[in-house]
Amino acid sequence: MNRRPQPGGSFSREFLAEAETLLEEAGSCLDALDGEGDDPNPAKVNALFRTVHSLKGVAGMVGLAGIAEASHDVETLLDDVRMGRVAPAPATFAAIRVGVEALVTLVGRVAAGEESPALGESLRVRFDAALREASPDPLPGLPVLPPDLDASFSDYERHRVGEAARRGKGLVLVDLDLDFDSFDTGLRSAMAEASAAGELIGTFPGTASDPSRMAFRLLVAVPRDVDTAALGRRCAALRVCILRSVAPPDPPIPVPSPAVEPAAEAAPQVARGLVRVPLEKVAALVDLAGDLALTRGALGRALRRALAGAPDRSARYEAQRAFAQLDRLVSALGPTALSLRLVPVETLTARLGRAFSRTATALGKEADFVVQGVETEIDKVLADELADPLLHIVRNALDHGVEPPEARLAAGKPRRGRVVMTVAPRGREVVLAFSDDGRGIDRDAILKKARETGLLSPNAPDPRDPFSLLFRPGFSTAEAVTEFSGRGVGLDVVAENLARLGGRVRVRSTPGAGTTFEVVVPMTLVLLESLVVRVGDLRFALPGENVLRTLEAEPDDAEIVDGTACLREGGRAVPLARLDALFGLAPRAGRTGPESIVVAEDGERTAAFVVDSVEGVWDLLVKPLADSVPRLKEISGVAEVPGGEVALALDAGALLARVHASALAGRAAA
Amino acid sequence: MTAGDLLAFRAGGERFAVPLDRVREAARPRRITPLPGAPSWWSGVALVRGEALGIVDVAAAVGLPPSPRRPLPLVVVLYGCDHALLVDTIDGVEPFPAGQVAPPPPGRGALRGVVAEEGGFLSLLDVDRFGARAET
Amino acid sequence: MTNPVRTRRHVLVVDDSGPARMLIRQALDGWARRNGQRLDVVEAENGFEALRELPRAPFELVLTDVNMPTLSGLELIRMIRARPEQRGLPVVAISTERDAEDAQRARKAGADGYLGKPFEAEAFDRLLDELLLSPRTPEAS
Repeated sequence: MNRRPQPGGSFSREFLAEAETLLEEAGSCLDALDGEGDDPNPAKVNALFRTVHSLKGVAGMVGLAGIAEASHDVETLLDDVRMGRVAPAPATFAAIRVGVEALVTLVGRVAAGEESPALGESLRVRFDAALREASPDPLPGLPVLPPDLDASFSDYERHRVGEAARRGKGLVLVDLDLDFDSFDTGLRSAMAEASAAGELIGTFPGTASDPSRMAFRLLVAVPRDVDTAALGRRCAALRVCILRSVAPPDPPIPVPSPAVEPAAEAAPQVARGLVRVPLEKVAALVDLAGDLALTRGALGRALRRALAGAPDRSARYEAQRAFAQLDRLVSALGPTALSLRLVPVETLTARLGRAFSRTATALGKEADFVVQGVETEIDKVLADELADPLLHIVRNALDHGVEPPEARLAAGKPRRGRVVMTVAPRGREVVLAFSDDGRGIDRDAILKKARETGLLSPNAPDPRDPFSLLFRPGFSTAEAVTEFSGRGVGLDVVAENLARLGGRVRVRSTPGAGTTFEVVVPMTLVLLESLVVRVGDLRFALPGENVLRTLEAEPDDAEIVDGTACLREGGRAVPLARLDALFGLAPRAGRTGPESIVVAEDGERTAAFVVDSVEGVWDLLVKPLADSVPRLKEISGVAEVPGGEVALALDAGALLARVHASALAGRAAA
Repeated sequence: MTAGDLLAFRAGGERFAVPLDRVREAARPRRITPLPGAPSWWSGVALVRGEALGIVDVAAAVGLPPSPRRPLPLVVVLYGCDHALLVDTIDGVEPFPAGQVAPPPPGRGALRGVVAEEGGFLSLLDVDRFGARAET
Repeated sequence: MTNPVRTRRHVLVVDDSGPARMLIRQALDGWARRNGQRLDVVEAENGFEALRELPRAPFELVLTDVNMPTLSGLELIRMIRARPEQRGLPVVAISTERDAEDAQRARKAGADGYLGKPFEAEAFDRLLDELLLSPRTPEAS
């Protein structure tokens, strides 16, 4: 198990990704703990403890002993705080912060290519010096608890029970008896309720009423003024659980000194004017809006038919007016629902900014990160997926672009470097550009390297864009780092990740003046409203913007114009094609009555397609298919339809071109 | 993990193997969607961890009867390939066989070779050529 | 040669860190290969998932991280020990600690074995030999 990390290997990449996340979490835990006084929220201390602990684990596993040791020291100090061996004084948290900063620096050194960085001076020595006087008040006796519970306490739980007693808090037991199918939802909700009411000290097995059910018992410390009956009601109101009893706290423990009331834990789920909504709920809303739009269409058609023969003119008028109103509302609902998924790009840039300053510190660079266009909105899913590749580009700009302060001064540049990130929508794409004012990339060095490593054969002409070689696997070798400006480490992975999102990355550079990485991701990934149709066993997704309308038509509604089946649409005949025939699928047997038809256009051409049925309108994430996968060129990608089915995404332009080409051929033959 | 280790699996009743270091993971996508216009040995496309992968039917690609469509098909995802392999079952990791590697029998493209073993032979797939040049 | 067909033995790996789960899986694969065993390794990212997975297959071993958010490894072990049908299931606690105190804590919570991360391959194998190959668990072959 003691394998060495391989520089640039997937292991060290995974380690960096994980360490990054953990340290970021540690940072926000520390920020949250700031100003909590001497009774910090134990859940936050625990969360901090866990992140540092996990970092130690991962570092140890990949053989980074220096980081493992430093994490261990921070973890030990946190454990002392948790267990009440060290008082949670400001000096303590200052020391913890020093420790976390040191870890950030060490991880930064790994990112910069160092094999196994370690601290010169052990953190323990520093901590011992800083915390000589921080020892806690003695604990009073423990409250009396059910013996089976008491016997299974961990040391930490025992300590927290004592601490609750010392602070004059009450203890509450919540018994949960949950259905197996939904126990995790129920348990999580009850845990959340318990944490909101006080401190969830531990989760214990309960006694289930039936072996097929799951029983838990939560031990919660609550401030004395908490209405335990209300807590019980809230837990019971979770519906997914049955509350058996809320044991009253054992006789309130006498408090020796006036209890310090903890600051009310108003974890703001609701910030001013903003509501946090889980992504799934938004997705459900978008689905409903799509369904509603389809139903509106069907209702409109039915209404027209029904009203045509209605003698009561005023009733007809009323119905038409009401439908027009509905039409307007439904049309407005779709885009509004979709826009809920958009978030300002700021959530992403803030994260990049934090990584930027950490990397700069670790590398001894002085530089500012400037962001333009933070108000640009992007899809939440896209923001999450983009974080990793963009972090890599930012780190790369600092590591290999921006020079150290002395070198910059010597080159006649300002001492502080700059990396400017610009975000802007461009047509159907979003452009995220990162420009540094660093040393630039030497294109001749790239070409030389590419020829040496065999990426380019010795006699091949120079490629038009030599910088694209940076993104080729195999280009980024450790030697490349020392030989020239060293761009390229892991960039193949960046390009691969972006390609997965249907995006691309390009580099422009002027030696001595700087480099720009331009990442372009398609808007279509952000939101591609699609009409999903079924043909046989297959589902196809057509971009919503290409769909003119859907209708039902009798087979004899088609007419033959110049030897081609056509449909009368808006006063002109448009070619009518069967999608199953176009794709060489077996036609459905025994079909009678009206057929479902989709009329599509691409601005130039219009055509109508017979499908088996129209399934719905959804906001789909279309994944591109690699070119090496053989298929009809009308199929551009794949998308998951809510419910787990997979739809083949159609390229409307290619599809229309094909129908028109065969219509022309038919006309020529006729 | 030594360089020569193989991942062995079964398809169409025969045993095949690919180099272990090319294997990213084995996955069970919910289903494989047929791709109109693709050659017969392409089973279709599937989403694996959100990535759209072409799926090559190993059995059909070497000239055996194509694998029947079934729910939760088993696929082997490879590094450096845009396609994954549809297999019946996975036998596991095995050391490179000791026997002599013989050239593939005629009509069976995209194999590096075959090794005789108890009860039959083990076909070594040529991962890179497999999607493009399998025999029909 | 082909491996004799052997019943797969189900192992549950619980850890909130992806790389850690991967390393444990590798160690399990290595052990299985050396001992001619076939394992079906199921991964769970947290205690909830683990509790949900447990009744789904005849697990013969659980390897769990100790420090996990929301429901810790020790809490998970306590839960396993309280369920009659899982009471005898061998559980190994894995933690970064190496000191005796932590091992004792895990034992007290009901763990059958304890491993410190990073674990030595030999220690891992010894523990697996003991828990999966000893006569008290029937040989599945």
